[in-house]
Amino acid sequence: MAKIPDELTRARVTGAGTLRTEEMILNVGPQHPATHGVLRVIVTLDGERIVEGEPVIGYMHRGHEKLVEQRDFRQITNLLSRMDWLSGINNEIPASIAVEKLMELEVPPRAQYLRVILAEINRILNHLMFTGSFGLELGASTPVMYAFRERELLQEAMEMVTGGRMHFGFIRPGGLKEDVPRGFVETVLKGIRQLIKYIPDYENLLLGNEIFKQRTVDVGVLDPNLALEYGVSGPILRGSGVPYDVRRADPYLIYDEFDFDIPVGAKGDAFDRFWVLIQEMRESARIIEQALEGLPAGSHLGQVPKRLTLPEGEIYSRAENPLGELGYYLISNGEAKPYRMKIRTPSFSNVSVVPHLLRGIYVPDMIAILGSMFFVVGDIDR
Amino acid sequence: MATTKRFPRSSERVEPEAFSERVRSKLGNAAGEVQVRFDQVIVSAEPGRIVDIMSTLKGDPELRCDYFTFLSAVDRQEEGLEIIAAVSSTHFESTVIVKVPLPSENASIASVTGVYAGADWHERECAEMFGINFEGHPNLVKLYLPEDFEGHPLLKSFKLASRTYKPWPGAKDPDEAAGGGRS
Repeated sequence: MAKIPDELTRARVTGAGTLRTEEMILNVGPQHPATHGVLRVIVTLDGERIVEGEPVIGYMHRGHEKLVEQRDFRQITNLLSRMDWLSGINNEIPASIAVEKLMELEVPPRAQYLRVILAEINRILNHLMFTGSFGLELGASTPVMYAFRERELLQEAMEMVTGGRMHFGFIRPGGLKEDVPRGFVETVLKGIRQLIKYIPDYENLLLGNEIFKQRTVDVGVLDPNLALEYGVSGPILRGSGVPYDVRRADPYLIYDEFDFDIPVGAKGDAFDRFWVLIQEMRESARIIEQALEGLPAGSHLGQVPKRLTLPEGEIYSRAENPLGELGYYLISNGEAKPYRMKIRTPSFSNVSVVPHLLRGIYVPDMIAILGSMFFVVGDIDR
Repeated sequence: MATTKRFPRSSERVEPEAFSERVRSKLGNAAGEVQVRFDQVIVSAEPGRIVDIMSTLKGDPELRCDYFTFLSAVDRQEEGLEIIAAVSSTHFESTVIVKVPLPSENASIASVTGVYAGADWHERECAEMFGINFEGHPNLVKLYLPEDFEGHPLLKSFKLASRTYKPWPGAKDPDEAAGGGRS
């Protein structure tokens, strides 16, 4: 009989004083319901603690930057609308601005006002969605019902104007596709008033809720300098106390004509980010009210040639999207199609900082943190 | 406590022309041409100086470009590749775009992740899309594409497979398109 090797006969006894732990790798997603679409996170766990969390992206990569090179300037609008599917109008605006600046097209005042109104409605729609979904992720199923009730009225207004509920394709270089229909102003005002009336409800349901506070206060604290270094923008950057908003810092459209405040957080935790999100809806409502009041008559589309031929040139055109800074670096070589268009999306930069937030936290906090980073996977991958 | 305040434009805001002067004097020989285009400062530079330039832009108290906006590239075909990196100062409300030419073959440039940690994903994307090597990047693996993917999709020589098979059906001349939709 062969000899049994020594290592198999030796028994190991561990005393009660030591508890040996081993790291475990847990794969979250890409189908996990709490991850918004298909974000995948590979987490290395030591017991209940996360040692390292690494987001894996690319499951929704559609190659927008390559696709826009095949289309002319009128056609790219419809494509860009699909990047961040919660902010269709906002995605379209800076692309048109880039074309207008390069071609020196004039946009009539009515179109400018309507763009602001539509962009802010879209911002509210986006924020309402995240108000609901963040509650849902933390186990509160009521807020999403309320959020969708308010969403519906404004969604109706968008549908009246554009005929669509998500991918609007309504902004054109030089203005808008059409003028707004009769009854638009009343519908929007009704939606805004209902929203303002019910925002305190959200605040009481969530921000004032003891369980919500336990899950979010001091959770996922994002240092403002780290955030800036990663190019984090939007409500997440402002949640960390940096009052950076493209609408103020680099005004586009006619945002410098309106009176609005920039809410900022104090600690930079998940609670502050969510607080900023709610307050921003109030500010958007203020902007819409002012814009509706000042809405001038006139044309919705400026003098635009049938064939959009851009001169040679380059421009970086940016806007404050609901989730942060969206920018297009457009290079034109004088042809009907863009030579190159770099798309800088807010969710891409915002999610790239996530590994820092996941280090050393407990597993349940991961869901609260990912939820409070307000991202859309289509916007990360584009 | 969190606050809602007006936060007007930064009182220390610097107009683009004035900021370009600052950039020019601070960067000195490290930069080539410095100009202003659409209210943004454009700096052209040699590949060897990118880390110096980024460090100065970020660290100099009169520039304070704290916000990393993006880094990408463009394939200029005969003229080679070009890196385009943008950073902004939230303090002075100014944006600087740095442009660095690279050769088409074996393009390689120092990584700026040591200056702006946020350049990490941007450089990974740029590497897989254009085949540019970023020396000193901590983890230069594919970001979007599958590991075994061959080619660099954003190079002009990379043809979109579906478009070689069938031309883009929406490619209509605006005059022709007046009669009907896509066919």
